[in-house]
Amino acid sequence: MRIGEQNGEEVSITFEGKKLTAYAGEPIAIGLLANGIRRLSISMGGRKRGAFYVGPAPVEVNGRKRVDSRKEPISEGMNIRRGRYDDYNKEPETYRTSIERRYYEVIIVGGGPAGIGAAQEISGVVPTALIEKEELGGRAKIREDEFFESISLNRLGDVYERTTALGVFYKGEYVLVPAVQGRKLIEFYAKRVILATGSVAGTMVFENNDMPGIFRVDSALKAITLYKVAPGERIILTGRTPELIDGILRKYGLDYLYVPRVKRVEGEEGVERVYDFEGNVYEADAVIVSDGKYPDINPSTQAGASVRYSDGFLYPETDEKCRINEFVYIAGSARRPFKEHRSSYYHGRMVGSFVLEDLGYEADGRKYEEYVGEYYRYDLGNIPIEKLNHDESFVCGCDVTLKKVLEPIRLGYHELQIIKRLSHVAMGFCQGRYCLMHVVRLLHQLTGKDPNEMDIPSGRPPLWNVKMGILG
Amino acid sequence: MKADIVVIGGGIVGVLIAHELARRGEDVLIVEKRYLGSGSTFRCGTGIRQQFTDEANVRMMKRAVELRKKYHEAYGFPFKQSGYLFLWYTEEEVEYIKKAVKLQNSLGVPTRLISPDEAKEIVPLLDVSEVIAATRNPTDAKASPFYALASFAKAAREMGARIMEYTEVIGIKRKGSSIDKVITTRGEISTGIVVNATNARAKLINAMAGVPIEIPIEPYKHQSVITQPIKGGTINPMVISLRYHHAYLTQTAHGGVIGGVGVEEGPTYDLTPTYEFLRAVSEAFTKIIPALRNLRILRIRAGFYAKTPDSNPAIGRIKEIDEFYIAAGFSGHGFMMAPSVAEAVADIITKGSTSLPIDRYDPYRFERGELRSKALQMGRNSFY
Ligand SMILES: Cc1cc2nc3c(=O)[nH]c(=O)nc-3n(C[C@H](O)[C@H](O)[C@H](O)COP(=O)(O)OP(=O)(O)OC[C@H]3O[C@@H](n4cnc5c(N)ncnc54)[C@H](O)[C@@H]3O)c2cc1C
Repeated sequence: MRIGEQNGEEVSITFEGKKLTAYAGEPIAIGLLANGIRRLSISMGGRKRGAFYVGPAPVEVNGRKRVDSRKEPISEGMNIRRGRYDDYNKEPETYRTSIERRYYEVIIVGGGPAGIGAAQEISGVVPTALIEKEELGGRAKIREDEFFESISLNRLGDVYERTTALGVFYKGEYVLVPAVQGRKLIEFYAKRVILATGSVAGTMVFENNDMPGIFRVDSALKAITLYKVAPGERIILTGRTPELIDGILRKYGLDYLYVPRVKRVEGEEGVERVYDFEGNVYEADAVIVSDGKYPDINPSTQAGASVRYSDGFLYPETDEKCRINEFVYIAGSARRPFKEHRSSYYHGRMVGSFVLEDLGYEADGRKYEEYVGEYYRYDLGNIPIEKLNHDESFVCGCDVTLKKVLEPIRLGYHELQIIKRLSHVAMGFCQGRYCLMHVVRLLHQLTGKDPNEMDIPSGRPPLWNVKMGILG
Repeated sequence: MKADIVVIGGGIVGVLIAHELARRGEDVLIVEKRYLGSGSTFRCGTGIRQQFTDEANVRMMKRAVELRKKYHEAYGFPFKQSGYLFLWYTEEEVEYIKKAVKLQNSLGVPTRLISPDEAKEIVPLLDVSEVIAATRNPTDAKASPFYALASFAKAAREMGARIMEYTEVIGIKRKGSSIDKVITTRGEISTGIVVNATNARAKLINAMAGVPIEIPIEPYKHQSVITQPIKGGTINPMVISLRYHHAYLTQTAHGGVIGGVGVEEGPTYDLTPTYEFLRAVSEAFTKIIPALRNLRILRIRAGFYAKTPDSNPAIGRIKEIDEFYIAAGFSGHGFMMAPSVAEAVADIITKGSTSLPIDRYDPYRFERGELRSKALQMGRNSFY
């Protein structure tokens, strides 16, 4: 359902042989959602999948397979069919167009409030690059955050949007951050790197939690605020942090019902019914899961950070200047999941100041301290394993069921590293971002093991999945 | 704590040795610094090959395949004989490999020289425009290191072997020429027999035990890549192209393409994955199979090739110590070789000798200056 003025021109497309209208430029998955179509792909395990929870969402477009429906913009006449996770194209089509090399004093990875704050602090003093894989603004933008809308996006140094950093590589005096922009490979070199890569949305384990019609809070926000398309007409909101989206739902006049914990969803093409643990059944066509936000530890650990646990989340260990070593700093929700975007922004400014100070400039980062507010603190949370069907509840979008994760634990494997390899959890598309916490929870629940005693796997390059044709 | 035999190192080699000893009724304890497999084993490319160019390696690998098949049937871990497919690009290579094929055939390994078209039938996505011939042995194989190691460890435990993880050996005490105690970060273990199965760190253990000879095993960083999954059965065999950065690639049971190239760094204990590898592996793989251009990389990771100057391991007893054995230095082929290595080591511990051809891996050969011909390995070798 469309809920506001649309950008772009109205165009006609075909989906599975059916003519539909959509708007040019919006992602395929959004255009289809607006037409009530939620089921887009089939997983490796043969499950019906949508585009908005976990896992990729490949579709076939004009005969080209494995097109990312969450990213690929719609254009006139597109002929779209459902895709499979294991589809591939026989014809090679991805080619790199060029390799460039750029030198800066400071590179900031992540263009959310923290990255923007850091860039504003630094760019007037030394050459700075701000790299963002989507568009500037991050979560703050899709939440239509008032504070964020009040700050100007000037003085950011060189901004590279739609540019995906592959990792942090140490080269003596310099740090190399290679990045992919379209078909271009850019090798950024700098003396200091700030990782302002933000947080990831918490997911939940319940029965059929991989069904089309289920939304991660960030994908629901994007649909609503960027594209003015509602996740559904009868929305169930669930999880421990409804405040991440309930304001937006109200603002757009979207009816929703808050159910703290969902047990099961059912439906043919996507969610139709939702069950809670009290025996209530709700008619619904969308479930938005908002269960906390967690630092995305992959970029930090790839860069060499060690991981600690407290207050319900894993985070990179840093010193008093938010450094993991001489070269790399962590700013914003990549370090602690801040409640307010304002906090992330000022934390970014503070870290920017620390960097300047370390580069020999006069700067006082501590002056921002008072503007940096609270971060989320939760308990670890638990998965009600006695009450769930283990074959139908998914820990991970790669068809890893609760059963597959419990099996090795029950066989006596209490090392996360082993459980990961035996169950294949945290080894697929998301590289653990949305599933690792569930394994931490399960291991703690079943063995009492303290998360700080667990051997947490490090992020590996590339930080985000990238096509071989661009690198080769 | 006490144990008749202490195996230091819980990689595929250490675990299989302990498994074989336990099977023969010995009292054996594995001491592993981190978790089982955390060394090279879990970083390996999953390949099991018999296409070597010298007799001992062909025989050892052939025996290893027989054993692995037997245990695959007994324990149920995945093991697939989907073959190795070597691609060759020059007459000189083909001449060389014809001799190897003859040797392999004479030892019962059914390798065949095939045409580029036949190669393309086996893997239709291959670009064979520069290939002039290929060699294929359908009995070569692949197996998941995770399931294989876990199954053998479980069976070893059931037969009485003990395993200590997150326990590092930091010293070895001797009484004269005899082993007395193994000192770990979690206490001392009284024992009379030590097996050094620490691969990349074998030198350190040798020094702790006072091994009087030089066994030059050095750690080199090698990396591998894993991509998003594609339809199972798209790339069945392990495809090898020495021409393109010594590349090897195949598909895992989960559908992802796995493999690596011979970008080698070292000696070093650093295991940080590198950008250079990311580039080189993408370049090679997309040359060999152009359709891989469209495929996304999930991650790269690094492990050790524990290398000796002739790329053959050091396996055997150190005579000056009562009793100390070594099985380490496996370059890029320790995973495939482990079952027969375990049999050989268990033979020499329990019977004093073995019928397997381990003379080639004599730990004293370096001292004597009797290096062997290089084992054919992915990574550096005689071509390119
Ligand atoms: C990228 C890559 C690809 C490869 N591909 C293949 C392939 O396709 N096929 C193949 O056959 N081989 C392959 N190999 C090689 C293979 O991985 C190794 O030869 C094999 O795993 C060696 O097994 P291992 O048990 O000897 O050593 P490891 O697995 O390294 O085990 C040694 C163990 O000793 C432990 N240890 C070390 N010091 C101590 C101490 N002081 N106290 C206690 N424990 C200690 C370590 O933690 C480690 O777990 C590859 C290797 C790499 C890096």
